[in-house]
Amino acid sequence: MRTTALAPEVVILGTSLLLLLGRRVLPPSYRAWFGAAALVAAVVALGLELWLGAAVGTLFDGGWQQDRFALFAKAALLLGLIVLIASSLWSPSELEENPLPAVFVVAFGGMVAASATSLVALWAGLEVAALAAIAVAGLSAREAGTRLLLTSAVGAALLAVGFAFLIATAGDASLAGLRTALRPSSVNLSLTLAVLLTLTGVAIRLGLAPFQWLAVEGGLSVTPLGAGALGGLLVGVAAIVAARLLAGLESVNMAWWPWLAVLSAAAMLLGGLRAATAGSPRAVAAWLLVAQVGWVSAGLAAHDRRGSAGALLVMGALLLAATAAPALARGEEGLQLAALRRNQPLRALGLVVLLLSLAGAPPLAGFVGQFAVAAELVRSNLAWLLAVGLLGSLLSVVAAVRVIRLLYLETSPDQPRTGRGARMPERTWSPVTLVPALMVLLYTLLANPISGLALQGAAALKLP
Amino acid sequence: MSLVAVLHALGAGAPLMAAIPTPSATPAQVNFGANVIGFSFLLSLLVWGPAVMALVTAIVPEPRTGQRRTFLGIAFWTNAAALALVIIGYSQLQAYTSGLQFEEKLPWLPSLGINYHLGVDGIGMALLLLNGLVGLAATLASWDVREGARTYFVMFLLVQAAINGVAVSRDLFMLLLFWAAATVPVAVLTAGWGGPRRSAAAGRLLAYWGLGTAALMAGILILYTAAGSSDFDLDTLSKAAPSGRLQLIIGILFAVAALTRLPLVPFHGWARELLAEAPAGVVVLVAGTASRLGGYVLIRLLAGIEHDASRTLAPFLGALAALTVLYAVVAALNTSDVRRLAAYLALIPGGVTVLGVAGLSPLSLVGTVMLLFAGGLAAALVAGSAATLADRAQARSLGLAAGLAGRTPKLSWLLLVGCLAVLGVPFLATFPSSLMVFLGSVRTQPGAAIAVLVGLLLAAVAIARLMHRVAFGAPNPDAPTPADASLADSWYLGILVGALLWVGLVPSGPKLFGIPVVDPGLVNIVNTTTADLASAYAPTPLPTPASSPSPSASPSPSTSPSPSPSPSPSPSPSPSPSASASPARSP
Repeated sequence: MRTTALAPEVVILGTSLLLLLGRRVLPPSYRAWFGAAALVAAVVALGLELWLGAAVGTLFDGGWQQDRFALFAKAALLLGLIVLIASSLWSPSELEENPLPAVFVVAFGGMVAASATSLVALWAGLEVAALAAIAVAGLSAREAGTRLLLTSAVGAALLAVGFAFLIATAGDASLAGLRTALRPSSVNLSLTLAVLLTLTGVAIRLGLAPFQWLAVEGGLSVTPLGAGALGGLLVGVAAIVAARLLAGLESVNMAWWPWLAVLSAAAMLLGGLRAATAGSPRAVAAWLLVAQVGWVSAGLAAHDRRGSAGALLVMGALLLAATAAPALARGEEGLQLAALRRNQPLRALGLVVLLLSLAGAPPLAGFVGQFAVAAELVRSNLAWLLAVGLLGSLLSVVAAVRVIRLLYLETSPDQPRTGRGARMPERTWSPVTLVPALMVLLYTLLANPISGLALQGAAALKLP
Repeated sequence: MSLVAVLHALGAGAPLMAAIPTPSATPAQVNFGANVIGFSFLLSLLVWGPAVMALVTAIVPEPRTGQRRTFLGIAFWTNAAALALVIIGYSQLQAYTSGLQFEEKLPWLPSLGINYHLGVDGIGMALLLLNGLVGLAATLASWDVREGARTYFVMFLLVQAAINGVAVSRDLFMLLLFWAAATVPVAVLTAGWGGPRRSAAAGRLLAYWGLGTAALMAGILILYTAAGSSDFDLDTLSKAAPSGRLQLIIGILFAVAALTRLPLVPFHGWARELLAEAPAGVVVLVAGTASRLGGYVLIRLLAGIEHDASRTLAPFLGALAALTVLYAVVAALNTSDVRRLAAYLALIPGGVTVLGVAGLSPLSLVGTVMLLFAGGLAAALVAGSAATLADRAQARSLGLAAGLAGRTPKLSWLLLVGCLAVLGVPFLATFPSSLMVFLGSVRTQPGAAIAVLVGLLLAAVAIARLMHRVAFGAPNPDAPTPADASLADSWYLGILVGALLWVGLVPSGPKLFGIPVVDPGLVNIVNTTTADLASAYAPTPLPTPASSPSPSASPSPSTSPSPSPSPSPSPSPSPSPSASASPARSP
């Protein structure tokens, strides 16, 4: 395989460095163009990935691999990155602290994890992404950043210890070696503990309930861009790591799938419940994310090819919706929401589409993915998990309808009442605010090729 | 000329009993414009047309102050065009052909086994026609919606697209998609434009319909898995033969899905609230068509696929049907709110529909499909007219909204027609449908049939009480001054009454010298499909000599303009078992 296959990674990392240097070298008047330049770079990287990533092979003596899974995962991450950058373009104030280099590093970490062939590379990719995401979040909210760092450290420690146990047990750090060394007969208490530690570490990164601190509490206390990085990109990276890792542990699935199924059920139910009772659209979006992550992990808990394909399909939809939802929702609530529909109708419409997709309402992208997972849950005799998931989805739809009601059915004040309470959204018809929603609709319309690619991606994981 | 003679000339048959069609698959040729106009995308147009117009409504610039009915106009013309298309499709549908027509099939998500498969048969066409008529009526019933009209009509058109989608979907994923897609728009319509308890009504709707959607999804997925199928196509899955226990589970899930939507006790909580709180247009749409989808799923998926489960569940469905009718009557007798009373009465056609499914005889199943159409019209009429009456009288209490016949004569009489339609009196479409249901189910589910009949008799008492108080009682001097139906109200209620009368008087379509004119006849349209579906439940035919012609296949010398049968000029091929041997054929 030729090293040109690394071009997307080079573009992403290079852009991150250039953005970092550009702030020091270029005069302030040029900084306004950083966002647009970053967007172009992300689009170029995606184009290169779709073009060059189709070739399958390995580099660095098998330390880096490009397969269909990597292609799907990287393309989904880059799409998420594009949506996140686009959503930051309509709030230039967020870019003052120059968070974009770190955002690119999050994507880069995910790309490393997607092409990882060993536990070490998986860990490195995930930790790089997590640190960068926390940096993005902490740039504007230092206290929150510190708390997030502590939470993340716990997850990192669990992962490190779990990986160390696994490597010691298997005598090999590579995922292929893990698959060969571990047999169903090798499941014992110590291996189970090691796997559970690892899985809990991944769950913290994924934001699976009851470990949703990073995605929810963290996301709600930082800027929309930070929340998009934490709740969208980082969750996507964690899902990629989980898929690769669990494929490596397929032969000992008895040690992990029940725990993952329980976590998925908790996430789907708690996410739906909390979303249905949340006060602001941003909180609703954060909890809907938790519920949809539950669907991703439910697909992985089915521990087969179709389940993982469904999980990848949901992950793609999640990346699109969750990265942009905080930027569209912002801090608006109550009367501000009523005014949002009047003053920024496209933004309101975009927010509704994203929330419905996160809730899994038909016929949007989230629903298609969830249906694929649901079909596999029935086939895998996990009907109880499906029942919980359906209940969670029902609650999620209730939550989305509550936001629709606030947006469209409450009487909005004619004039912004500045100085007498909440600040009303400014009047704008910016079409950029509709980009994430259009991407979600496009994902739905192109569900056929995307689901085909997801199935190929799952097949590349060599699952039964 | 006497009325009977007029009916006879129109093809209804002299005695009304003779107008009751018999289920027959006899492929008699009807010389009525079959496939004169060909459509390869008719169904897509019916599904996506309203959805596209919803998008157009969402994005058109805000109209000027003088053009406040722009959104209503878009919805109205969309509905008018959709109804015109449905009527063309209806008239072009080849009666007596049980296969799919206007079929469209494209791979959509082949990796998930999902196809874009649309097609329509007699049952689907009845539902499309119902949605066309009710959609137009509901648009007119929304004439007074001014606040948030854009959002209202966007949601409204989305509901209609979803209903059409369910009626024509032949892929169970698509059916589920459209089934679920109606939920959020109806909830938003209720929460946004309903009465004082609108939030509770919307919440209940989401809960019940959500439960139904979850049950339907689970049932479809279990069926798909049990069939070992590679796709969700109805034709493929209907050939699956799951084990008895699995079939029962699937059947129960389909039944729960259907009963939450229809609705039946104990899944009726949403209907009581929604029909009493939502605006008239939404009430008409939900009572008329959205809720009929439950009956459609019951026929198509439960009775149509899971034969053993249908037989096992039939007594329970019959009991629920009887319970629903009796509950509705008792609740109607105990309420003093005119809208709630009408909401309870609107539950009755659903109960009778389910009795027909429980009957599991060819005749009762034909009656059920007919009742999907007629019951939808009746429920829409009674709930819609009560909603409009309460609006115009500015009162919902029977104490205040009293003695209105003199002051609001149009609305009072239309409410009376709606009530009579619920009861299934002669000359209205519910009469032949209900009669077929009763006659078809009295042998198989005698207890339930008699209980439903008793319920209908008691319903007459509730209706008499309603009409006595609201229409003919002493006016309350403290009540606000009522207004009679506006022109839009008269039109929308008139459309519903007209359709009920048309199908009631000429269920098999008017004939001139034995040749169908204008309308091929709803009974003829639904008959063959239903007969095919019912063939699984027909009693085993008695052994007959191979050479002897079957009764229904023989050219009938009768000059009676019997609706379904077969004055076929040539000996027709042997019909389906249901047609040849059903003892219920001659009631």
